[in-house]
Amino acid sequence: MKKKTANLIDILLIFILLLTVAVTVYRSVSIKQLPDTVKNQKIEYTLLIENLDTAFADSIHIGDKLYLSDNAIFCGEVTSMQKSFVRKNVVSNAQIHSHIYPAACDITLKVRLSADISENGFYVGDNTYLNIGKRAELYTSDMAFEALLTAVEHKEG
Amino acid sequence: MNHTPKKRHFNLIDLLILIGILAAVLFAVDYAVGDMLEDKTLDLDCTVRISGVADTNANAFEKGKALSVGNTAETLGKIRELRVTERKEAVFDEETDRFVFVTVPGENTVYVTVRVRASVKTGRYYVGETLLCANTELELLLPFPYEKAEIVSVRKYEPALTGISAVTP
Repeated sequence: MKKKTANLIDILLIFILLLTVAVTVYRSVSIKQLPDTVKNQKIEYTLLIENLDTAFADSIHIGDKLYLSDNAIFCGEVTSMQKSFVRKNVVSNAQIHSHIYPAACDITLKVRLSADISENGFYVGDNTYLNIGKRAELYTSDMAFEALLTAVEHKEG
Repeated sequence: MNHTPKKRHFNLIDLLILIGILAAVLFAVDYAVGDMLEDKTLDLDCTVRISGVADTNANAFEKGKALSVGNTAETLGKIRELRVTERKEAVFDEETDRFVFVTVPGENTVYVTVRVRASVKTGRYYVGETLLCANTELELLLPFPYEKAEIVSVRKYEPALTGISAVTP
């Protein structure tokens, strides 16, 4: 009976298989999440875009998909939007008064997403944690902006 | 001795190797050519606001002229809509006790809309290497100095909804 010997292609295939398994295991083990993390929850979080030139304000729409600028990670879909003019302080007669500044506006966005959540934030992509108070560079298909995460709300169902 | 050559069968390993080679070739082609596999293109109306254009240069813009960016040497498209306005800034007026817009003498703001055939990558629009999205600056190739050029609007081409009239009062 002829003895079967492993050839170079067999060794290469086994090596590739082992490498794939090793990478998969490493990726799943390397995802470190906070201890109180609850998987796959429906959330609605609030983003504040501050001091945006009013010329750009019409470029965000309800239904837009949001992505993190780093690695193009999907961050959910805009469900509501509220615009208000920025207020600026002006000193006159030794007093500070707050006045509407018509050249810029603040936009509050509500965004819906299914994500792993913890007490003060949530995960997007594999291991990117967004917590309340964090500023993030985001984009939609039509616009890029920086926004502050101000609230995370857990949605039932 | 009479040896009849053993007929070689196409086995699973051959198939796997072929798939691997095919995947490598596709990846290489995609890497070299860009988004060939994705191949999503669409027409956009991109409106650019060019601030700080001197009175003497404001008439240099014309419909039908090409608008190009300098840093990537890409031509975005031809100017389809054009509006030249006096440059205005919001300043506080003590008499009326509120911010008002005032004209900056000698300076203009020019809005131009170009129709662009863009490709879509990771949810964003590109012409070559130039990213097209509102709230980003462009380095335009113009024969005179200007202060700043920013994209104020990028919209899929829909005749009633795009252009300068849709983004300016």
